Amino acid sequence: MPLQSSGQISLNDLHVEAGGTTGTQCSMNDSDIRGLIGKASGAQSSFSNFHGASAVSNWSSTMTVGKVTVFKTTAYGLQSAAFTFGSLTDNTVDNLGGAQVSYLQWGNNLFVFGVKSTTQGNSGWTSITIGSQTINRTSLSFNNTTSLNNWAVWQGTISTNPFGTTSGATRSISMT
Amino acid sequence: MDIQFQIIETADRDIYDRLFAEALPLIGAERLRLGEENLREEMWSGLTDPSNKIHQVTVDGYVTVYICYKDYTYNEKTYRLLMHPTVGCDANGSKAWYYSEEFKQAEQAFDAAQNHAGLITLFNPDTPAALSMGANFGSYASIEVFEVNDFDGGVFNFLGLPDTMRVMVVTWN
Repeated sequence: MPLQSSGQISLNDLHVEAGGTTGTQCSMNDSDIRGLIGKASGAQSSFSNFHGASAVSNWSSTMTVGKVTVFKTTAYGLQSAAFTFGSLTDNTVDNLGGAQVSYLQWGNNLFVFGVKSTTQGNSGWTSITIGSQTINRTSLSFNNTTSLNNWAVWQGTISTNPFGTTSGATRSISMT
Repeated sequence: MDIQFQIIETADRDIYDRLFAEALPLIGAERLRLGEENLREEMWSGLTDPSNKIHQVTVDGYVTVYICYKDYTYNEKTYRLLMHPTVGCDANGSKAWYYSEEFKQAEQAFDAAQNHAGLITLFNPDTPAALSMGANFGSYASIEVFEVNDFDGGVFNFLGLPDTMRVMVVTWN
């Protein structure tokens, strides 16, 4: 389970998240704790760097790009929700407790990433790389309310289409 | 009055132009937003987009409606997402057919045959088209209205529609 996305975090919280036993000795420079946020040995870090960090493995997949056109506006990528287009070799996101991808699309300069979840908060991942383009979670707004029909959705303005416009093309997807 | 819903492969431009002219009084808000010619061509482009499905409605064999649509999954049911419904007159120049019992029954039968729970459309509130639709189906269906940004995970956000537009979900009783 990812660490909390805000507020105070203790060294013991980091230790437990990294797989250690609560109350036992550890340090910020332990490799398993550094591994939560990908820090090198001896590198400086603060507790706030660990907000949302998780010991679970990072999700990676390959997308076959699809598209949908509604009122002359086209979205590219994948959707498994209102419309069904595109596909992923693995659509369960390890970083988000195995939640299934409902939206991973770009259209009209709007990037949307959404998973089916009633509990997911704005945490669990730092960035998603689609092909060669990396999008940071902090650059997106987050919403997860009942009016969103139990989706946790990140979206924001991204001027470059990371999926391309060719249906059937493939894109590597990786998340940290 | 014999009213039929039929899925068609291609729309006829001359019929479309007639229907568009007859529909214009009901779609004034979009005409103001896009301009009449832009709206005419945008609606036609929907009818010629191979990723859309098209159906027509005939009244006693005379085409009164062209609609392009997509199947839309909402709450684990399939709906018709109406795009650019173009509602015209019958051969007598009347739209009374739209308010008839036969039309309501034919529409529900069509959706039942297509395994559609109902229909979804984006609309401008308080326009003649929206008011006539709500009034027409109110006793035959449950009608829900949402702000575009709130609807179904923000699925339509990428369209960049005006904030005034709404989403209507009509679920047959």
